[in-house]
Amino acid sequence: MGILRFRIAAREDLVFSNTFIEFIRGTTTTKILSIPYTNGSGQQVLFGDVLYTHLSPGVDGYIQITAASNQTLSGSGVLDVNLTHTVSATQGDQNINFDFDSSPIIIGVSYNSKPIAEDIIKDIENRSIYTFLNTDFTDAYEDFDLDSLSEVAIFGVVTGYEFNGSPYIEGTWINMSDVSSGNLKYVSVDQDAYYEKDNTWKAKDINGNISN
Amino acid sequence: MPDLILKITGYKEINIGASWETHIVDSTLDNLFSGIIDGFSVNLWTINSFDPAVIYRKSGVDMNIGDQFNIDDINNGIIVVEYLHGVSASGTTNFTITGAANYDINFTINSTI
Repeated sequence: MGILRFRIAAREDLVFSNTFIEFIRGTTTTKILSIPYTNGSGQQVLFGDVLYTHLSPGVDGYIQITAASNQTLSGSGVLDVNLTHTVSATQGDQNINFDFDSSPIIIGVSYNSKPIAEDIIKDIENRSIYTFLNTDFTDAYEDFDLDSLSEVAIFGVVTGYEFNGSPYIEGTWINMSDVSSGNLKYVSVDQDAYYEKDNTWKAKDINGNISN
Repeated sequence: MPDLILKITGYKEINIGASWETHIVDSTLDNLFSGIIDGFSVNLWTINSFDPAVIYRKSGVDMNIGDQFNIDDINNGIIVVEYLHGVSASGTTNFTITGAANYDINFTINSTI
């Protein structure tokens, strides 16, 4: 009589730790994420292997997770993945759940928005020094997350602008506490004719997100 | 990237004192001030009212209704009148001159000045 025998492997399931990642609303971004694991038993992934897909590229909410390199999961380590995500302007925090080799992976995703900076137009006098107020900038500032305005920077030809008593250098970030202390000024030209000083500016919120 | 635009006024600064004649200014205003200077050797002017298109300054400080200046201030060149360049304006500044009745200065400013 023949023998019917099953050989049952003693393989342990991979165990992945929960991870967290943040994306900016209104963008499509690819980020690298390292997912810690234990109980690896030689599972292999190749660079570009698709581990998870949700929706289609270019669609708000699109997510694709691929292997970031050729990897063999042994013992303990991290699974490096590339996470590409298209985020709507109003996306709320969520978890991404999928399985790898029958083991669940949970990625917590939080979102923040870039602040929105709007045009600022000020009427000031010639032959005078204008000291900027916080409200000059906060009145032209919005943030979906209600993050407060942290810093501002001015771009273009910044002749006439003074910061802390010295000529302002284009693009230098100015903390709002400096603005409220009266450290940002514009010295208007001593001339009789009307003129306009045209620059652009950017806002940075307390999370470090910068307006377009 | 959003704009940060500063619109700077073009107030023109005119000395009323010794260098008055060197400025190309509205002839009405010029003549009136000259007339006052010529007609009253020692006088005190008190501003009773003035048109908002014009700013009077004494030693660089804005003057308001009730502020005073005299002939020495004018001759020393510390009284200036500024008006918005490029804007046509007209109006009346009313002064009280010591020893005389109220004196109105009518001015006309045109955009070519």
